[in-house]
Amino acid sequence: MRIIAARPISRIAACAAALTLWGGQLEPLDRSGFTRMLEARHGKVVLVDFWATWCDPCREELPKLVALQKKLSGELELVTISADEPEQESAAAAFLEREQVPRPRYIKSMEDDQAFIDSVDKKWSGALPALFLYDREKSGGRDEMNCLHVPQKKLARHGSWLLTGDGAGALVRRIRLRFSSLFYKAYSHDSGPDGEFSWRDGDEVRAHLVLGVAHSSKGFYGCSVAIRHIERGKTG
Amino acid sequence: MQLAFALAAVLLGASVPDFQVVDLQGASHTFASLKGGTTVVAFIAVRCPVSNAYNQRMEALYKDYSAKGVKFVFINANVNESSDEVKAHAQQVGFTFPVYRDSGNVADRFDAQVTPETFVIDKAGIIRYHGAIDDAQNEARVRKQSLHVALDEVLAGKAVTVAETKAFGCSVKRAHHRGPTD
Repeated sequence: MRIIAARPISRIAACAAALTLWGGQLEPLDRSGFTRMLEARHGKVVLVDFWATWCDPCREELPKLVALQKKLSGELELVTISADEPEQESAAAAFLEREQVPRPRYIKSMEDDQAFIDSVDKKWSGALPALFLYDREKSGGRDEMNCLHVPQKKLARHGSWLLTGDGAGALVRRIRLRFSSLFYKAYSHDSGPDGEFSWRDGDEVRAHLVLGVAHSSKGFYGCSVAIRHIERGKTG
Repeated sequence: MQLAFALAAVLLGASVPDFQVVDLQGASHTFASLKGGTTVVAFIAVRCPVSNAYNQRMEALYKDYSAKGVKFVFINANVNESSDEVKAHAQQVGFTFPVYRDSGNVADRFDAQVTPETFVIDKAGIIRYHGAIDDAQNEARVRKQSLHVALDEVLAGKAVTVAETKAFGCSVKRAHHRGPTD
């Protein structure tokens, strides 16, 4: 009897072990899965982070994205998609666990990477880190997804274009309601030239959003967005 | 508005205006002095694991296609990697080809975003291929030898079937440019 009684317990233990193992892995995502993932989030603002364990700036950035999501709790959902190879999946899952990155935690499926990259944005080179900000209005087909894209000239002329512009969508409109103004200033770090946006509440800096990791002579490629600093405190 | 923003990037199918790179001893070289009938320009990195995954493949490519008269200009355009670091890395991984530094805006001119990223320039100076070396970081999983195929087609005087490819890679760590509102 004792032996029989022990069996369900060992099964439970095995199940628990399996669940733990499953919980530590990433969900595979392909092109169509990516579209479905966004469609399922209609009405939400989604920040999609393509990252990889081999990408140093990505590893630096991810905790900041987690902090940003916490700061904008309820307004912004962070979705991570690892571009790691299958050999690196365990390390990627361990990193996300250690940094307490919320789910969903995806890994690109082993299919045609180019097709995946193009399906996200044809203008994207595939360089990491890459962040894509989707507004609430996205729905259905890819054309309706508003990716934050800031033409250089527009950016230079209108620092606050992001707040009111056609490409930025509901996130920035909501943030405008929460924070009084937005300033643009040139910013540089070791990843190259970027545009930095600061949200201020009075004199208090609430968030810095740095745009344009993938900078080119054509202008800031705003669909690649890096949030480098999220700060609090008086300025000046 | 600085010069870098005003420069138009050289695109697929367009001709490459001459540019300068700097060797690891600090001497400048014009592209005109480095190019051949067919030339490969490749943006590579020291610290990028994706670029490093291709070290042996780049070396093999260099050996195989140099024998066919192709010239190679390997460029490190990352500001966070010093010339000494580039030199030590090249020795350590056994590159037999020279690696040049971007002397200013070469990566911008090519609109290079990622390492490794390659361009095939034909004898008329026209960019005929732009993109990845192949389609898999892990050599065992390569299905499309895109750069090889494009090079063979250019050498044979044929049209390039797949002229542009993409792959995940590290961003090019560009030199600091002042922003437009400075």
